[in-house]
Amino acid sequence: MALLAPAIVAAVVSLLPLWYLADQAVSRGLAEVWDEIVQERTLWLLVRTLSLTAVVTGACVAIGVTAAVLVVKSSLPYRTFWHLVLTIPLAVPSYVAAYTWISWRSDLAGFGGAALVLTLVSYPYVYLSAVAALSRLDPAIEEVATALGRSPLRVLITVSVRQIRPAIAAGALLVALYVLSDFGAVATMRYEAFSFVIYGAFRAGFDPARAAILSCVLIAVATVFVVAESSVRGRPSFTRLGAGAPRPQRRVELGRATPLALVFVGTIAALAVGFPLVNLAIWFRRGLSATIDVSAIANAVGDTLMLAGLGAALTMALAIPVGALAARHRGRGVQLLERATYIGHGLPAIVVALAMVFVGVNLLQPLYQTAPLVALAYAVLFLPLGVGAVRTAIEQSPVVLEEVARSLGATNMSVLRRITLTRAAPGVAAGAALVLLTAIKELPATLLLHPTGTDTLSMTLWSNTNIGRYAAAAPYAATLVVMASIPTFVLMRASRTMSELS
Amino acid sequence: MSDLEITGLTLSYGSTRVLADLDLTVATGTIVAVLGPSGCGKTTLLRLIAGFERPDAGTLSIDGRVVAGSLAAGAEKWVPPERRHVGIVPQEGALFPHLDVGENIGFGLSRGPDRAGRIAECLDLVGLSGFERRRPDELSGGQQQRVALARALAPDPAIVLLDEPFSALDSGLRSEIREDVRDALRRAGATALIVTHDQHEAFAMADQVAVLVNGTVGQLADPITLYRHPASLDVARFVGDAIEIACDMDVDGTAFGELGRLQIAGDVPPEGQRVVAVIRPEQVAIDPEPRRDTGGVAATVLSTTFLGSEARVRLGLESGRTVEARFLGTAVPSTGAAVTVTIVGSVPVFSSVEINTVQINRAATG
Repeated sequence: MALLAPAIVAAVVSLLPLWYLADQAVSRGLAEVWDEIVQERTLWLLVRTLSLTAVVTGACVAIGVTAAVLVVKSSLPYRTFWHLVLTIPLAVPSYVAAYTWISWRSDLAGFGGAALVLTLVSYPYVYLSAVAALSRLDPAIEEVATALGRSPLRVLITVSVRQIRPAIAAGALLVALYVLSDFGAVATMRYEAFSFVIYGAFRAGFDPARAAILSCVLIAVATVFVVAESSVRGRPSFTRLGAGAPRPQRRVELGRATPLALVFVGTIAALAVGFPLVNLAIWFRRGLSATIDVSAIANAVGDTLMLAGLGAALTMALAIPVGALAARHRGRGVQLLERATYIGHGLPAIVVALAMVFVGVNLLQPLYQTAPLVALAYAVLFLPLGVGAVRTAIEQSPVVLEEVARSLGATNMSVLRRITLTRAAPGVAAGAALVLLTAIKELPATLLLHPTGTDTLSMTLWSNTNIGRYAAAAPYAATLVVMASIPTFVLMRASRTMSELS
Repeated sequence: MSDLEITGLTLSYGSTRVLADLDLTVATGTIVAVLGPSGCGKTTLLRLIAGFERPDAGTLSIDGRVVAGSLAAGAEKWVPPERRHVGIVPQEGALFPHLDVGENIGFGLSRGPDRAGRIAECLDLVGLSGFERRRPDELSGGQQQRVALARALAPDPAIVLLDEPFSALDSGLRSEIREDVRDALRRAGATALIVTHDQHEAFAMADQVAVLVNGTVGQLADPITLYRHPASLDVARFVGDAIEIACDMDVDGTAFGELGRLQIAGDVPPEGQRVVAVIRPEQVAIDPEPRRDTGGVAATVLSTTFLGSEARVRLGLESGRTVEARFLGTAVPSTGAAVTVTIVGSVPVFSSVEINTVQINRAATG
């Protein structure tokens, strides 16, 4: 099978970070690792990270479930509008959100600011998961409960919300994983959680040993979340996001509680969407009165597109053989290959970045601090997005077309080119766009691996924020927000057309 | 000369045996229908011939060339689908939605000066001249099927395989399209194997019909032979409605039972043997006068169902058994009338080792 060789290459690329981690753990010896772990500063680091994770996850569950119940199961006015607005924060990179808050009040730095920002950007994971599950509930079960004499509110809590507990758990675990892996928010808020400390140890402290050991600890913690998450969910999250096609649901009359419900969703929307936009606009105007270096912004856009474009091209080149195999062959070997490419989904970007530094130094020396190595890091991080998109697109094309083509004399490769990929082209293109725009937003790997003299939008925004030059950062943040919102709207449109068709 | 030769073809999915030691030969230029109930392995047979499945055992030859199975030298032979020169027409046509009609038909043709001419020729063959630039979604279901046939015929395959090609069409359209398709296959001089569960479709399309029973070919014959001289009770039951009557063989070579004296079609069993006679509903004739001297039996008209061109009539025999007969719509007896029933023509008989009364009653009463 001609697809097998490139698919194996894709799996090997995905496994590169594990090679780094294994090498570090083995070469340093367990004793040294243990010494580092039991140090007081490491334990405190663990406590700081886990407490942030716990607080953010709890807040996200409270906000996400309440908002989902109000939107799907109540008589809340303008429900479609609220649904749209409540989903938007998903598109905002955490460091952009953090920038809009810290540029408002610099004393937000620390636990409070990090928790606030991370809650506001990651509650949609719980919200969307709960909305999808609530919309799929069979109204008949609620009707039976009502007929048995329970009040609508009690049915809502004891029957509906109870039924979607697995979905809530899945969303909560996604949030926990997000917080654990996040670099942008904690770095901007200068809260010493894992990702930020690892970056500091490597960049500022020139202590690659500590960075490597902390990476191993972070992976150990993340693994617990990944295993828990995949056991609750089974499939990658992004295939779920669009699945919230609402069917007719029984809705609880809010009555006099309507204003209260509106205040709730309004406050969330104002904090998560309104405030960042307004503050960004204010800084943008202030920046305009100063001198905006248009050519520097243009250069940053050019560098960003070059790196992200290269990364997206490499990612899709690796994703197509894996996705095509996974869509058409259910064998054990193919399953393992597909699983391998999902590793980037669970690894914190900072660890993938460190691993790529290691790969660059040890294996691909001439590539270190060049664009191809950045592209390789993007491929490890975003292969799950690409493989998922390719696979879904191919699965939607009937197998019988390929069989007819073969009976007409077309070889395997010819069928792939003339039928399978031609049919799947729109879905594959959407996947490529998603990868491209996700790569544009990427921060930690770009920071560690960028070629000298290359400055992307995300890097420039981050470095300006770091030294308090908020007005200078504003145009970069605005450009990123615009670019980041494109895939969200594309995906929303796509899922809406799908639900209209079905 | 035969275009398709199958011997000992066997395939199991897990513990389920789908095809068991199946033999089938299709002669050049003939249309053979494979007829069988849903789930009897018809589609699996097509997929084996096309090369989308591998058999557990047996040999498959297309155009005199072994494509699957053992060679004389003992080596295992396997030819992939793209090198078998087999055309397939799937159930729903399965036109390539991203290509227009001309590109669909040209898919299996090599680029060259003759290509456009061949496409036009094939479109003409299925009566759709000038449709080259149409998109598949602009065609009716019947037109899509005809384009699918043209696409399969274009590379001049050794054999065309049609998998229930009309099942997605509504019944009015179906009979029209199947004649178009049959005529196109004839004009092309193609060898074709058509799989169907519809007896009328099989009879209308094919020179020869193979009835698939228990994973093997129960009988391969032309429609008339199949209907009048079925090789087994299973075949008789599947081809048309059957009234099954237990009879005893008489000394004069006739069979005697509840419906009187019956003339035997084919081999006559020895005197005294217990047999099952299969009577087709249109062989039942009634005489309005209750008479016994014609060799008929007395019956009462229990109910009539008038369907326009024909009528179904339930007759109660003296024994208490009911029999369903079919008459032309111009001669419908009235309910409650006493009549004499006679059987027109000869009937096939089968040795009755095990007669399931329930089955007989169901078959008789419809």
